[in-house]
Amino acid sequence: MLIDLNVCTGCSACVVACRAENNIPITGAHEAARNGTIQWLHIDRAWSGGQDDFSVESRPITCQQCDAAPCEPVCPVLATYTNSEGLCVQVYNRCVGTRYCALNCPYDQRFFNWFDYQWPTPMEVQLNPDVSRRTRGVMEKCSFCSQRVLAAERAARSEGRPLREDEVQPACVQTCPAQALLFGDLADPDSRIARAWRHPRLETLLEELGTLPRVRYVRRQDAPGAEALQPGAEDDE
Amino acid sequence: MNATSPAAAPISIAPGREAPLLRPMLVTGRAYKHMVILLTGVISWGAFCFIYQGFIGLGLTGLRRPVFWAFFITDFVFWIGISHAGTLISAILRLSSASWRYPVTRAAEAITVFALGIGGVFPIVHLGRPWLFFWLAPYPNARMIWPNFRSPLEWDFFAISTYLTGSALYLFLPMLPDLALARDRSQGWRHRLYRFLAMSWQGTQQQWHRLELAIQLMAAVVIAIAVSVHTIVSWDFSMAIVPSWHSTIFGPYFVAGAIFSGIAALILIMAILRRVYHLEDYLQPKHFNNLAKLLLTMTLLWGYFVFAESITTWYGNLPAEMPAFWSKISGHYAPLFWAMVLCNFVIPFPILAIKRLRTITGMVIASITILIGMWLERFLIVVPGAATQRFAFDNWYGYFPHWTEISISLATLAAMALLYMVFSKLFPIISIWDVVGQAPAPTGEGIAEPGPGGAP
Amino acid sequence: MIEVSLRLSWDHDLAGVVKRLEAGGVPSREVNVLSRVPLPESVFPANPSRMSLIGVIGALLGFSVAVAFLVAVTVSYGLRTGGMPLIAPLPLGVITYEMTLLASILAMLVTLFVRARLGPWRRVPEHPELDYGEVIISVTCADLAQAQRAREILAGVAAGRAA
Ligand code: SF4
Ligand code: SF4
Repeated sequence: MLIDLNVCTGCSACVVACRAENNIPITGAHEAARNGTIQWLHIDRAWSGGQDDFSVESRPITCQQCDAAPCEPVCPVLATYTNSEGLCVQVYNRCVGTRYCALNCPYDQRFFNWFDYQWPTPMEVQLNPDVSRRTRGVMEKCSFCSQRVLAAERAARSEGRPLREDEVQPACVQTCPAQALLFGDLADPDSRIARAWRHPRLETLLEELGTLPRVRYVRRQDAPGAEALQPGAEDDE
Repeated sequence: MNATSPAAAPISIAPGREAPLLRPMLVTGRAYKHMVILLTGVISWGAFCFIYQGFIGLGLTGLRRPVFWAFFITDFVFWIGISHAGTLISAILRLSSASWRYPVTRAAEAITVFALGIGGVFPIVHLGRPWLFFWLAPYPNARMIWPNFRSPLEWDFFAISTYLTGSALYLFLPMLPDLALARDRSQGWRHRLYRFLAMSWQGTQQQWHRLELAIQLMAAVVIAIAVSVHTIVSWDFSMAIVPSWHSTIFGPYFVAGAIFSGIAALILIMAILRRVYHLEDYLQPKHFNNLAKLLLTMTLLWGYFVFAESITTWYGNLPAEMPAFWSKISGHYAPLFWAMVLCNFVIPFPILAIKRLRTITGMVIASITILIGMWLERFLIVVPGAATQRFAFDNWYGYFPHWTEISISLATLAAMALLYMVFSKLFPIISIWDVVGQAPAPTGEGIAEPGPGGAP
Repeated sequence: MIEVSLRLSWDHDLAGVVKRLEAGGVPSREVNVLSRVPLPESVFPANPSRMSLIGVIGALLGFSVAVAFLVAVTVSYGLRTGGMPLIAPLPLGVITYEMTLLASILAMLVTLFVRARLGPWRRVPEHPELDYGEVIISVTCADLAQAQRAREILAGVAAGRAA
């Protein structure tokens, strides 16, 4: 996935789409005040400049789907591993909740079900049937909407044709009004993402840790890269 | 005396030399019973909290992202540390044939087994779905997936179960002759219990040779296991990518800390035993004094490790590590950090170093502060590393424990006390054959009479 | 099984008694000298034991079983984690180490139980009268005749002691 920070307006439509698609529980204000929220995707805002040249950079952050994911080998029950498509998957049924993976994710992109969350009354009717509701005590995180990937693959297989490039879109990519997000198959050298992957102004978060993220950002033209790597103190949680 | 006591268990002892050591098993006072009731109450409350937490979810605790580990893991490391009292110390003393060890070893080995059992409960308590803890055991699930043997938590599982097996055997084998003695001197259910546990020990010379050899050999292996266990516990942290956890020094640092807190626990428990069971003749000041010297060494070693760990972090000045470092030295966790230094070094060091202060009372004070300090040390390793800002993401969260966490921790303290009390009622807490057998044999008492002959 | 026993003081010539029993036709493995604390090595020297060797063999066995088990199990359902190799010697080595030592301990335990004839299922005569500083010469006899012989020898020993 490629995220163009030049285009992102910080409207948070992707955050809402993700929440709706993936049955992300609503934890309420009390939990939000104590960092108890669950947000597979959130916008990290970096404030810079002074009174006159004020600027804010919005950076959608999600699980980086690391190739060398530090969260995976520490799980004692293999509830998280790299699947055949290179995604870091989380198997809810196998998770026992040691929370070691969450500590070992340098991006803090793993979320724990501290309670059995309930949806306020009208909202439970819009739960996505393709995504399981998680019980208390398991870990969850962005899956790159693997239910959509699987559905598209199934459809392509039943029609006996290869998967087309634009067939799969995670909810955030589909929703983004500014089209700041690009999703595709890196294994296909002709895909749009494979071509864009060589963009000269790309950056990866915490590259020095060697986690090889599969999410890259197109750096802002007006912001020096060093600053962009240091998101400010404000968080929109 | 024992016959008139209403609570006397059905053991009749000849007023032999072992009588004072068997007496704690016989005479049960009122205070003991009250204590048992009190401790059972505390433990039940803790169990209730655990079940309650299981129904509500771990959100009940003060844990939140990114502090995924805190109180329970601290307790886990603390108890596993305490467990190094016994086997490690008694094995080292045995291998170095320090003869002052005799009255100390049994008490120490019992601490190991119980502390290990209690420590092993915490990883289960802290699970998000504790009812599925057995998924960590090495067996394949319905899809033939085995646990992940590359995970440090799985190493923990193996290390702790190996250590528990080893230390339970190491407690049990040297107790065989004493169990046989208890079997010979008891009637009723106790006789049946001891007859089973004594494993038909007769005391033939063949048995003695084999037993002493086995204990000696196992001592060597158990030391190797004990060192590995706390190293592996420390690797839970140092294998992680979390700054300030990721430290190569943690292995030896944790082992040293474990022995440190283990000796403190041993001194404390020995002082209590001496007082409650009137064992002044056996647990003499010289035993305490020797242990205090060991403790003093460990105090210095611990101070050295903390210094080495801190100065390398400070001098290296890695941006990722400094928030956690400063939060300990001068920030949010500074009061706890300096309390830890006070408890682990500033108070015990003079008490243990100055001969006039090294009385049993002084040692008990030093041990208590060290136990508090070592708990704080584990807390300060676990929490600030997780709670302070890591890398570029601002995710600071101030952890504060919930009362369920505190209750469960206190309940395990009570469980330790209760297990120890029950143990000392059922088994001789001082190795009788070691202690009484070392006294010079009386001469000229040989009663020679033909054996009664055998019944078919 | 008939047990014939004699209680003696520790400083008695115990080896001599055992010799007399043997001379009287009691097989030496039926003669046991029971005591509450181990007698000094000089009285009855320990016969050589292979327990340390068995411990090492157990360790080697544990090591090989651990390696085979871990490799087989990891390969049987290979789930890649963290971009690391499936068979990673060092992480698996930690568990191998523990299993090695565990096997060594268990091997020694079994040796002890077999060689020292221990086990809760065995029934042995109990000697509550045995005290410190004393031993009991216990002879296990197969039949009444042998028991009678052993009893006579022991009575002789006792008489000699009293004289
Ligand atoms: S971002 Fe975190 S959760 Fe996602 S793969 Fe990387 S380490 Fe794992
Ligand atoms: S929807 Fe698009 S523009 Fe809006 S915050 Fe998300 S990435 Fe940025």
